[in-house]
Amino acid sequence: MSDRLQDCVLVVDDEFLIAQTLSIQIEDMGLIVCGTAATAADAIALAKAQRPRLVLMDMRLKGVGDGVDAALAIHEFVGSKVIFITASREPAMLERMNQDHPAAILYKPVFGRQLQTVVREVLAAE
Amino acid sequence: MSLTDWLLDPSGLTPHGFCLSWLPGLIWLHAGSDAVIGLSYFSIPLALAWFVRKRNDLAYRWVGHLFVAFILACGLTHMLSILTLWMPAYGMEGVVKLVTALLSVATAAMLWPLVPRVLALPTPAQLGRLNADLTRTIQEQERTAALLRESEAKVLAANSELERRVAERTAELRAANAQLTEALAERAAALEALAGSEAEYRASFEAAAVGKVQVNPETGLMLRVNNAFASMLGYNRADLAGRMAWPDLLWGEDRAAQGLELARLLAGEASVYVRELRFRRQDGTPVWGRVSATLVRGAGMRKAGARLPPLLLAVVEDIDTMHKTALALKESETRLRLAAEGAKLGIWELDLARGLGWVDRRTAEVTGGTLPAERWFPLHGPEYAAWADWVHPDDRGERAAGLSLLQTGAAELVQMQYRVRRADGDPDAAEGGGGWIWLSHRSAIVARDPVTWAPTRATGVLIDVTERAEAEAALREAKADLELVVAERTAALKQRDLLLREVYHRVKNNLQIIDGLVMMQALQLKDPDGRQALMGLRSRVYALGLVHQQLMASPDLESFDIAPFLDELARNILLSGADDGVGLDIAICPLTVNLDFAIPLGLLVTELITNSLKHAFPEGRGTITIAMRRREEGGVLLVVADDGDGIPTSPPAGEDGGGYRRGLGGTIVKGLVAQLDGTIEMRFDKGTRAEIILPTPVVDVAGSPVEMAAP
Repeated sequence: MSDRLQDCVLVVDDEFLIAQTLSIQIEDMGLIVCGTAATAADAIALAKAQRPRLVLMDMRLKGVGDGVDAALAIHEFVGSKVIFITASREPAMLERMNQDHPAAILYKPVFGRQLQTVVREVLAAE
Repeated sequence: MSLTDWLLDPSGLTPHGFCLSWLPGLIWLHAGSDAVIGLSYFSIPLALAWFVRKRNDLAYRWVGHLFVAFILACGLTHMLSILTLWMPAYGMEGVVKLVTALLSVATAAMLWPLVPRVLALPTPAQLGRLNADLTRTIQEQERTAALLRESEAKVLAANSELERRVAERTAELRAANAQLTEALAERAAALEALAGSEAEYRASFEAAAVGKVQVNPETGLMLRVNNAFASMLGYNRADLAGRMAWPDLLWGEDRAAQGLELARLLAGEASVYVRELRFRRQDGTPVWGRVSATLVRGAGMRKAGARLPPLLLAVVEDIDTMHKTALALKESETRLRLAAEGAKLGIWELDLARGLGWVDRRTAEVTGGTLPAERWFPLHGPEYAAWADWVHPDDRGERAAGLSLLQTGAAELVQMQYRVRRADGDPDAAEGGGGWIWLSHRSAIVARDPVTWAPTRATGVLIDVTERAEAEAALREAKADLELVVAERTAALKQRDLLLREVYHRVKNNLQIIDGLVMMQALQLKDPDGRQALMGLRSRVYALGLVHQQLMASPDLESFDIAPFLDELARNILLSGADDGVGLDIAICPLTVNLDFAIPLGLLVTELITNSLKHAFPEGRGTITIAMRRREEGGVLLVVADDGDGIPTSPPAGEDGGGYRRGLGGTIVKGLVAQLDGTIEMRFDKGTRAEIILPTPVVDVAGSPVEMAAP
């Protein structure tokens, strides 16, 4: 499946500014952001359409479903790698995230070169 | 000089006559006198020796011999005085005088102690008196002998008289004997007639399993007892028969009453009596016996001329075991009754074979008199049916099912609890209990038909457990109330946790947004100083965000361990703003802190690390050390140091009071240390070294700090 994935990154976050910041950092690495989504449904639709190699997934999303729901669906239909970005460290939430075998989990606040380092590692691990 | 010369003529001395000038008158006077004295002195001891020799019985004969020797020696001295008149034999005279002196001294010395002893010897006068007394005694004896001889003669005379009379008496006796022989023959015949029945009686008496006693009713003495009676009382037969009185064997308290009855028997008012009474065993313990006694009057022997006294015949059965068993049973019943009363236990019984029921008084009271107390009633009768109506309608089914199990024998034990109408009408209880009481019912089958195995008898107890049931209900209610409160409190706590998490989440999200804004703004700036200032701002924002991240992960949402926080903070600052050549050396002790401590501390460390990164490593390599430990004298020591060369160009001018550079960083550091009630000391010898002493934070947490989970 991975050979059919596009060399781009999907950013999912319901906060525009955060999504924007993440996008800047991704582009700063020389990668292409193939879209940003604020809801689980949008995220799944975009992922199906763009087939990104990597998804940056926020846990809390607007509308129905959270980051894990979206990630599970994307994992099933597309097979992208997912890096969760969450403000939560609650055990219940961590357990849900681990259902999806995430490539990495980043905790907000994500700072400085933290994101870039993790993205580089994840992509290199392919 | 030879001894002979010395004795007879020592060195030419003159004879004694010379001193008397050889005057013939004087010479012969001395010689004559000495001769007479000497001869006399020879004569006296001869007489003495003769006397002593003849009288062997004398006491102290040795004194006599001493006198003989001494007087003889004296005589010899006088003879030698005569010799020395003409011959100077003074040696010999001296020797003889010496001998005389020794003998006289010995005699004199021994005579004194002898005097009292000799005085104690009887004198001839005393002996004479004794002799006279003896003579008188002998005379009296002779007189007595004479009298005796006289009496003997008289006795002889009397004896012959006696012999005569004996002969007469013998003749009389012989006649009487003939009569007696005749009578004895008659009696023997009579006894022979009795012998058969007597032997029979004796055998039955001796061998009887019950105790048998014959008593003399006048004296009370036991004339005969059998083995059974003796062993019942722990005696030997020989100890009782003919030795002990019947009343003495009775237990003290029973003796008087028994005596009365005996008197009635003797008076002929009663012909027999039967009584249960206690005897005293030989070991002093009581034993119960049933006595059947009768009086036998001594008839039938008159023919033989001897009237036998009346006889009390008693048969004694040992009923001790029976009696004690009965007593124990009674005691046990009493105990059971008391226990039942104490426990407010009602007892009832079912005779299933006959279809009858029985209840005790307490049960009857519970039924309000619907069932009769202590009387059998039919189970199919109206009383029992009426009682069934007393049961609470909701509980009737259960009770009927339970009783059915018992009556059909399906269950050995039936245990249930049901409500019945209150019989006593206690107003207090009726108020709360609504007129119903709770009964605990326990029952069991006690007998079954041996053939059909159907239960024939069942018994059980009823206990009023209303109080317990009510207490249990109250307890259940109280518990439910408490659980409700706990649930409410738990829900409130959960709500509060939820809210706190939400707040922290929003704070973090907002900080992330601020970070994004700052980053975007920085990208717009062309001025490198302005960009760096904005990047410094991002570090500070990150420190605030990280504190909230730690708080969210902590169980109580209030406190967390500073060590992993500082570790993560330092690594991320380094990751975002440093060259790869800069390393970290972190050694931080575990320390539980809250928001108020963590935020200033996090910002403080951020400032110090950022400062080192900015100034210390122009070459892009070096090490930043962050250490924190508890001080023995109290408080904690935080050290942030680098091994770079960031020495300020003009330290005195470039430092303010806290020893830190001027500028925003310096102000923040100084202000935060003050806010934390700490002190800071800066050193610039080998790199920059900040030593900050802070009071140990006091964290008011419900959970133990040890349980803080590291993120």
